[in-house]
Amino acid sequence: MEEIVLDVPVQPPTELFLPVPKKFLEDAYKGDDYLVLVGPQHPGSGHMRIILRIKGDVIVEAIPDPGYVHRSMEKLAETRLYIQNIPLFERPAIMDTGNVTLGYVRAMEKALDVEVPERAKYIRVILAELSRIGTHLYDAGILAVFLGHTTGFMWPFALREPIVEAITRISGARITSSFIIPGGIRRDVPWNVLEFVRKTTFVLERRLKSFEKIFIKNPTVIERLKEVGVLSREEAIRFGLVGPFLRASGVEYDLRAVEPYEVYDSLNWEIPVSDEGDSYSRFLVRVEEISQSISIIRQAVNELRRIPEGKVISEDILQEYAEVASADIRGFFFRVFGELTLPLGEFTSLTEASRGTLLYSIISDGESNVPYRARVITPGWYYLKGFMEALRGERLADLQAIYGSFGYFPPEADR
Amino acid sequence: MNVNGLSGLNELLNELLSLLSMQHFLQNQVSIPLIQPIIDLLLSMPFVGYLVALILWKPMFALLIFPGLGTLMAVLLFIIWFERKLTARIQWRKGPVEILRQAGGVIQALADGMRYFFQEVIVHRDAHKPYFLQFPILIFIPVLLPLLFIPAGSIVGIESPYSLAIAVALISLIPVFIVAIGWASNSRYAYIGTIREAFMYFAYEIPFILAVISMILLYGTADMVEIVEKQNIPGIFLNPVAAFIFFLTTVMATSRLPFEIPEADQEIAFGPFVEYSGIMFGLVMTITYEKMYILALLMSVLFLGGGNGPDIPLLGNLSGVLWLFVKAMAIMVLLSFLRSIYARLRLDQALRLSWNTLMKISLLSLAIGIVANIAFGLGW
Amino acid sequence: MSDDSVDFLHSGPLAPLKKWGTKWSLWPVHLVTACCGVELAHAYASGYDGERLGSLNYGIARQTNLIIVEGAITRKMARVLKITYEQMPEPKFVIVMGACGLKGGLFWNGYHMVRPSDVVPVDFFIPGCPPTPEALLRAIRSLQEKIVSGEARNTIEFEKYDLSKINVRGEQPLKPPSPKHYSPTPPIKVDVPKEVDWSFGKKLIAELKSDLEGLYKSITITDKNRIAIQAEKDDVVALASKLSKRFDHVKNVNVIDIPHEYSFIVEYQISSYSVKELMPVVVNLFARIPRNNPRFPSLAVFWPSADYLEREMYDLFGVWFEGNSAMGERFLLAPDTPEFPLRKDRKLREEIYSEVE
Repeated sequence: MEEIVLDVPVQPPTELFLPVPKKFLEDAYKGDDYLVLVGPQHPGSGHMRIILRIKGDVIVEAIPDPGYVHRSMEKLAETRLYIQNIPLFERPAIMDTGNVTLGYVRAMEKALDVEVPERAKYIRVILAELSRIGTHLYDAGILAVFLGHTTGFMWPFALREPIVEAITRISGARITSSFIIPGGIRRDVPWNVLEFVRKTTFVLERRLKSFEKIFIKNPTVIERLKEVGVLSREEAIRFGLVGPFLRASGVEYDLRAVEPYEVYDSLNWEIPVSDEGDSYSRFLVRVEEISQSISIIRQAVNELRRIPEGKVISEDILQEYAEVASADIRGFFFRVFGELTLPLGEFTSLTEASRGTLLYSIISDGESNVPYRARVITPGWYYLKGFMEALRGERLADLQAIYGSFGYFPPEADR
Repeated sequence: MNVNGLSGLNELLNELLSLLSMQHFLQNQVSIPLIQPIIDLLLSMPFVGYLVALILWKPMFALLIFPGLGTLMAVLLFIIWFERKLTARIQWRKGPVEILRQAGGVIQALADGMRYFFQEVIVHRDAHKPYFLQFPILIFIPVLLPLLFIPAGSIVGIESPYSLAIAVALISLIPVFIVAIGWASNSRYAYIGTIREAFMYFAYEIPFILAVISMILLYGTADMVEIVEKQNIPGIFLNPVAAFIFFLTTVMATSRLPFEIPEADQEIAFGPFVEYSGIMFGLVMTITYEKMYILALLMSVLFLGGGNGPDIPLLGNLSGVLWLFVKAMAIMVLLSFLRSIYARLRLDQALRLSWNTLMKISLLSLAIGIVANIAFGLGW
Repeated sequence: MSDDSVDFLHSGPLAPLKKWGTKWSLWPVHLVTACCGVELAHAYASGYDGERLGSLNYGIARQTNLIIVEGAITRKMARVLKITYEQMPEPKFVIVMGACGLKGGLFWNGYHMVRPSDVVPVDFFIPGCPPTPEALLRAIRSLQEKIVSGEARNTIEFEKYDLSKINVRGEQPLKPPSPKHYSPTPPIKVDVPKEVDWSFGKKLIAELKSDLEGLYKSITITDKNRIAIQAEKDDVVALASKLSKRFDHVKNVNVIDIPHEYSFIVEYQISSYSVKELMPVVVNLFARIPRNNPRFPSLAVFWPSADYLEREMYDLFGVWFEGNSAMGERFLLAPDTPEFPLRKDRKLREEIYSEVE
């Protein structure tokens, strides 16, 4: 087998690279269609290019050109220890740190068959829901700025600050916490921090009311989002939408309820579902999820009152270090996880990340301490197809409204 | 014949000289009792006196100081800073401040202007080079000329019985220049933005002109000086419908949110202005603010009584100037405020709004204009 | 402009004015490149308010004078970065955020990564993953100082720690095991059976077996809610047409490269949104295909949601999905990336850990 080294120098750009067949361009120019290239350097698009073929003001076809943030994660994962892949797989969606790491760690725990201590489960849920609120606020801000509403951008980002602060107090890092590890969490969270998290939820709730007045119920915002980019229930299923966007089209599918993990089945919460399937309902579903997450966090903090502190990492993982490290893994990290090897087989975990289904599939050969193959599919990559289909037949100006309503985040989609 | 011709030329020269003489300027001078001693001192100087007399000559004052070039520049620098500051305060932050901490960063727009001025101007390969460079400068003609017709108390650049009509006609020329700018840019987004600008132009222009006509019918004259004199009750109370339409079309015409459609930076990246850089962008970016200033002045003349207001004896003629300025600034602040509370509408929604609703209401305002004219006996 | 006039602007009597204007008007262009954008948004939002420094996040390249590279630059993005930089008028500056932009960071040996300093001249680097908003604002402050004084200086002096004493718990932290343990010819099996208490699964399997009679090689329960169906490549289309009545979307299209067995495993993981009982069930339909002729029928006709996933797999592995119209085109990868990088014979540079001096 001939080995090829991948480390080749980059060629300087000589021409514009377009992922469209030449025939498409010729067809478009023959007719009276107009090609508009949006992105990657465009105030209304993130790190991707969308090639629009428009007739008059109406989008006839939208072709995505992703990969501008493809950081070769799946290949890199094959060269790193299982435990080193946690920060690697956190990077696709760093504002969603809780959910993204939880998904990968759950795939490993599935393989290792370990039971996580109850206290760790609740703290994981708190972290995941904090990330969920943070991501939804982030997306709301991006949606607002895409609609030209700068106040709607600034306020959610201001509201993200207390969440970031809460995550910092829990894990020690603002955005990239990598706090969840196989068998539990890195270290126990003291009571005063949990109390701070609980208080944060009240601040959020109060401030969200003023956000609702200026942005959510703003007549111009409703005008822009209502009946724009509609995906019916059948279309949503066919194009494989995920998460809040699927629920906005009327499918009651939330992995936290479908295949309950951690402690979600013991908490009281509802799945917000809408039937319209337009941009506004995609947005409203996520706004409603924020209040559900707030309620979950409060319940989890209340539950944590009765669970004694001190044991947050499973003994099955720690083994001989169980006594010294069960409340805090510091100093024993690579002793415990350095030679971690998963059994032979494929282990697939499905997690409800903020923007929807997050799939990790680890294929282990049962002998190496690195994965043989790790497959990650992030929510963004799932709903890219639906996003492109939703654009069809809408007006050019609606591109930004639909883009924002999906909260499409290319680093997450491209991995 | 020869002699007659010569004497005729002589007379003409004499007349011209008398027009340019200091006495002629002094006859029609802005009087400011507060600083009269200083002015007297300056006037007594040989050369400076002539210049001061020229500047204080009312038409020249209107062109250079108020409402003309000087105030325009000051207002531009101020309103851009103020808009950023106001938006920032609404958004729970501070806005530009570090540049001049003592005064809340008030010279921020000046720094931006300096940066533009010294930046490279790029004319890209596909642009129509002469037009690309000429139109941003030529656009000052329709921007500056209407200012001469706007009366600030007793100061007015050009008096004419048709001053309102001329001013409105000149203002209507500005979008033509913007379309030309977009055409010269020759870029995809500039093209889309230009089309949007053209659509919006037709959409707001008709209600706008109907609102102005209803005010002409109401006052029975198109002379702005007379209009201001006739406003014992401000026009906004006589015809609130026209005022509303005028305000809304001003928002549309100046591309303020929620009608920031031709420029829509998140959608089409500043539309017609997408290819401009350096000082040329500085020029085109200020067009909407300049337009906003003119329309705010026009609105205060038509609806808020122009320079009318309690007379401040110390300021003399400047009293009217002050009142007009305060009213115009209030309108501009209101327009700036819209930026932070509304999202951008879509082109078709804006068109539907103006061709449908605004058109109907503007016809109503015409009727109100006529009725009010008869009811208040303003005469023709 | 001629050189004389440039010199005049740089050092003539107007130079202080130019420097002052540029200093207080550093407008970063909207070029988001990777995940550090999260912290950039924070730096310009209410919490930190970068606009205090006169720096305003603005639309497009022509009107701005600063690029903030937000972390990782990929091969595809490197072109865009270069083009954007060329579009900007002089004077222009570049700040690079994050460890990825510095030396590659977490992704240093990735096949799609480029260092920004190879593409554009960089004024300041900000370390961190991601750097905090404070760090970004500090970099802008430093750039302002640089504009006035003309020289960049290091603003951070790292303190040196004795790593042997850093662990408060008395034990020196162990470095990760190096080199890592790779099995040369590992056995790969994606349908390892597992005994689970799952009565619905047993019922479902019985139904599937009678439904798909003769088309499959084996059906196994690999975990709770996980079923694996092995089939021959030629039967896959028939299988998919039967399965698509029950399962309405694809969760995953995956390829596993097994060079020592001269084959690829192609997996389709399918599930259902319409039937409540089937929602948690993930069925893994997989087949082996020869490595020298990697062709597989596209199942996007049954499940349109598989379209982009198949294109991605072609990009990464070179498996030709017959019937997908976009085969043969690059989707995620830049045109100059070595082809099919995820195959096992494409090697990355190894990570080696050594004791820190």
